[in-house]
Amino acid sequence: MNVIEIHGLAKTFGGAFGSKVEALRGVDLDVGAGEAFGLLGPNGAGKTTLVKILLGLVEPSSGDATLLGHPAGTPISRREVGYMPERRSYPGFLTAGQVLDLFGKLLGMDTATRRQRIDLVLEEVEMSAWRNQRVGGFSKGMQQRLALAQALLPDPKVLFLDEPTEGIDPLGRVSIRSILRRNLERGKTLFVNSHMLGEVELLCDRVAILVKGKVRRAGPLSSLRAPNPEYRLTLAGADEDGARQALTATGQEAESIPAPPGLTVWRLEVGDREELNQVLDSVRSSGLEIEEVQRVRASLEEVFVQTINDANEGGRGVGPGGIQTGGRDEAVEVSVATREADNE
Amino acid sequence: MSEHTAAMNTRKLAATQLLALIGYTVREARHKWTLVALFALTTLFLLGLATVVSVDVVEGSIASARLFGTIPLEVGNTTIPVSDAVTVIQVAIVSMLTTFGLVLALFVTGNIVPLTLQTGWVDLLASQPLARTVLVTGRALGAVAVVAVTFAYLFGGSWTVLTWKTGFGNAGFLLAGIVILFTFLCCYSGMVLVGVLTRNSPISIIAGVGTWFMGLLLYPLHRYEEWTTAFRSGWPRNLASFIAETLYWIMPKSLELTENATKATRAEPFNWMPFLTSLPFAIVCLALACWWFSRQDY
Repeated sequence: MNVIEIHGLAKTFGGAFGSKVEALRGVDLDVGAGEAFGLLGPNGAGKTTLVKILLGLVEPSSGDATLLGHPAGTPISRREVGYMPERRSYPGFLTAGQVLDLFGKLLGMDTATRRQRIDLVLEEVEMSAWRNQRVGGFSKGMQQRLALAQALLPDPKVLFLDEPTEGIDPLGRVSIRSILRRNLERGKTLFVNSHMLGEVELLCDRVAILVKGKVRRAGPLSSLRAPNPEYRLTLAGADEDGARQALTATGQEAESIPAPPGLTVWRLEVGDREELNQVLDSVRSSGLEIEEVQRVRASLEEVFVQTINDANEGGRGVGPGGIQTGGRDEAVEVSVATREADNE
Repeated sequence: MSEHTAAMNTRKLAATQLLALIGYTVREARHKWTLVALFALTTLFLLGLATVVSVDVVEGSIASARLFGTIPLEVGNTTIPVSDAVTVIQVAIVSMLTTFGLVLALFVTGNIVPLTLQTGWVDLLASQPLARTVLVTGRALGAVAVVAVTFAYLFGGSWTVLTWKTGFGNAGFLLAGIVILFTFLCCYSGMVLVGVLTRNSPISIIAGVGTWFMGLLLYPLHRYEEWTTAFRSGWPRNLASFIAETLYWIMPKSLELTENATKATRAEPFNWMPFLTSLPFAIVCLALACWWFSRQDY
């Protein structure tokens, strides 16, 4: 069952006397119940506008959307929804408890329910000790936790999180991520809006990439990142011609990439493990020494950059594999490891 | 759930939300020292009233009056009924409040609506399951509640002090407080509209005080037509007269409402026309504010 359904949603800001800005240009999306969905896009792609339309903060120019079966934007559709906006400003004179009490009242909770829920959410975000402290003295991380507590207050079925870990230190990010994962396990739907790809990669099952107001790619994270098996082969010695000869002897395409002195580094695209071993045999039989073989996984970043380039007319076309930043692949490996560890 | 139950639940929710916003606005005023400052000023005034005026009443008339308990005020051979003396003091209080008090009230409540519309706060409030109309109305009523609480303290306190000192209780004085609160509501509604349109506190305050001042200015223009002789006869004079008359009927009649507050204190009959013709301004301004706020993107 879909909790969010969006059909042909468009939004144009400005008009009449000013210049027009097409923030959304016909977006179609569905998000299923219990799903962790990531909406990715560069700054100005229309991510926040899309969420704001769903929450009734922005009126769409055309198209329609439903939230939990109700037309998006209506008060009733927001009854079981939590929202953690990117930009928030709580009145500094209120304490954390008073902020939550106000929002509890706006949600129509009675006193007993309010008290119970406030205790629960403050505990969940590890803010119980700060209940009676004024928000004005909170750090950014604490404000972020309070915002999350406020979003969790109605025990929502859907949680909208706009840049949930922006500006937070690594420990805070891990903490927020684990809170979100717990809620996911409880069956809540997460709609994460972010340009922090690593965070989305660690949290979401399915993503959509929004560029210039259009969904350019959407699907399960695994399918977007699905690589053509690609390896990076580092050989000792600087004999590039000899290495090329050995590598191409098996009929493979090999692309040389910049390497430290005394080494040659090659990017290989092979069909499977067997083909890789044939190449390695050929290399060894040519008397070349293998320094390192590394599997290169297409990271979300590469998919993201590729998608943006595709969307940009006359883009330079830096595709997956075209980005040659040394630490990227390792970073992906670390991310995957962390995710696996988190899942445990 | 039946449609009737759903509608009832929606109404109940809206009422809860309205009360929450009113409560929040009062709390905000208290935390920002607005309410505390108003209460402190009022307390000072009441203490002054209690200590400065000291009268001896014999058979319903003032036998002697003293300032600060020691300085005698000569009453002479004239017998001053207590009711007259009390009414004079109360009219003075009403006159002070219809000018200084009203402007002060508009100043201290001027930022309430613009504060609601601050980026980051409006997003949080408007993303709750509440209608935007409820949000604007709740905040506006909250501002009225802040002023009403202060007025209740001031009028109730003054009335109590004077009744205690003289033994004469004038209920009309309390009614005058309600008339002044109504005048505030009319001027404040203009401020709400401008606040929603501009999201700017200083401009909102100027609009509120301007609305009040227009009422003072337009009444003499409406009452005495001689001013039009300053214009050449013919269309300039007709146009000037038309503009003044139109504005007079549109804007809240603050001067005439003030007169009604004095009348209430003196137990004279009301002139209902200023009430009936000022209320539409308040309703239209609040409705326009709600309508505008409801169609804005945040």
